Amino acid sequence: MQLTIITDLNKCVGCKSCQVSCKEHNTSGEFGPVPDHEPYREVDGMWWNRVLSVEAGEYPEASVMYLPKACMHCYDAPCVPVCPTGASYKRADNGVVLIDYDACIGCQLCMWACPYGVREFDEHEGVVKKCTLCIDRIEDETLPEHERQPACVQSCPTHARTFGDLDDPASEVSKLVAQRQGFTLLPELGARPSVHYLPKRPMPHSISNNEIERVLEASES
Amino acid sequence: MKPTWPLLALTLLQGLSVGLAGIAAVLLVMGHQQGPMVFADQSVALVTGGIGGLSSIFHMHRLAGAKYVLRQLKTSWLSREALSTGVYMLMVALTVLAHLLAPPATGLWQVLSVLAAILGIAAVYITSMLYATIRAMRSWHSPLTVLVFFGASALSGELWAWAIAGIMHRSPRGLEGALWVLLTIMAVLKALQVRNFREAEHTVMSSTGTGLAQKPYRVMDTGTTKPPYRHQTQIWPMLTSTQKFGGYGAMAAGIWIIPVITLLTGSGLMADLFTAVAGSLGLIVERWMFFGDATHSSRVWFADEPKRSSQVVR
Ligand code: SF4
Ligand code: SF4
Ligand code: SF4
Repeated sequence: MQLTIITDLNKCVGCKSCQVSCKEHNTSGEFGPVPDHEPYREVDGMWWNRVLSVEAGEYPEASVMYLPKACMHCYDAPCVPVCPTGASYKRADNGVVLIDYDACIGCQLCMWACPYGVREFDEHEGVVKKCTLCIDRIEDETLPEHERQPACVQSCPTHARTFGDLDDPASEVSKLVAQRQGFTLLPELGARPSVHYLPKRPMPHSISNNEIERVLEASES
Repeated sequence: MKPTWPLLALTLLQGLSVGLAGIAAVLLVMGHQQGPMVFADQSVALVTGGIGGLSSIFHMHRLAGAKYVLRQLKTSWLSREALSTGVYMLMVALTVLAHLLAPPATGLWQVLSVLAAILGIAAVYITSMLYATIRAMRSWHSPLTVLVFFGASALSGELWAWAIAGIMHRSPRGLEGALWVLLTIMAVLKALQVRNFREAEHTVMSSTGTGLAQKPYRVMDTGTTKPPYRHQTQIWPMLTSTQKFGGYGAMAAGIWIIPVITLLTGSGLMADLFTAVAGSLGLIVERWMFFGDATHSSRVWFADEPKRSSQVVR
């Protein structure tokens, strides 16, 4: 089993609800590992899920893409074998990559090994932290079935994010990846991320007012 | 990535210690009758290696986990580094102790000296592999990383052995020749590595990081994605051209220009010490640039990418 999240880049509107709900869920509750010492002054504090806004091209042929980026829960996670203490590990039963804070020494080697820059160093506790795929929610049997999913997936207003098992060919995530040609980031680095993105469809043709008028005139005559 | 002083101290002092232990072993094996100088080299190797080992404690930010550090010898070069450097230091300590306690005729000192040098070479290899095997750090992922670590280790050991020889008024045969050879090899290796760093900078591209091929490409500031990346130490703001020019210039002046001029024009203790100090400072800058000028693959999500014109059009 390989649990993962698929994001449809056509549906993502960059609202950052996933980013904020990740922080909200992971700073609160009994677990609460995300530090939030100065929430109003420290906007560059720790975020396990960061939504990037990327603007490409030049006006008027420009476009904006939003890219929610968190741990990719890679099949061949390079952050795992480099860890000297075994604090970074990948679960055999569901493929989730986790960190045991009790064993971590804060050497940050895993941060260099992760190609995606999604691990963050907690200066106060001296350990490295990252997205857990909300392991505390997805394994909490006291929650109703529909709530056993990551906070970011549940809060997405456009349903851009889908959670499921990528190793099950019948799952929704597998079908989406297969049918919509889902892609991964930096595939050349060999980490084999399980998190996929569904590519943006081409932009509609840009048509100038002059052209519309010309067509209208032609159809009238 | 962000250079930190414990990493600089650990890697530089481990390299220096192994370089000195290696030169001591070579002098002994070649039977140059330089007992006191060999012993001085080994004692300095013990002290510098010890300080390097101690500084590794400051690289750990949570000492409570230190007891697990040898857990992943099977996969982690950092586990292996902790073990190999520890064993090497133990052997250097035994070597120094053997010279102090055992009668010289037994040959124990000679055997331990050679063993210490071999273990030291293994330790430098393991430390360099820790960096060379990180695929995401595009600048380091090359066999050149291993070769430059060995080059820097041998050169720093040679420079200090040169100074120690000067202080002790000795001039072992071959020491000056070896210094010229090492300066030349290191110049070639470093030139190739700087070329590699530029190549890495060029190949980390937005098109593979986002699927967006169209440039220019701007990461809009959301308040959470711009420098100084406080929580992400694998990346830090790219060095400007002036900083790179200054850094590599200072490195070249320290490692090559000043030592070569001094070797050609000066002689005597002051010249020897000047060569060693300039070379050592140059090697510190070299290691700082190794960390500071390295390109991590995640840079594509932190920096704007300008439109690049064709590199091959005529
Ligand atoms: S994205 Fe990075 S931290 Fe997450 S599993 Fe992959 S390599 Fe590890
Ligand atoms: S920082 Fe912690 S999790 Fe990362 S490699 Fe070091 S010990 Fe392992
Ligand atoms: S919550 Fe959904 S729409 Fe909003 S940024 Fe996240 S993925 Fe995009």
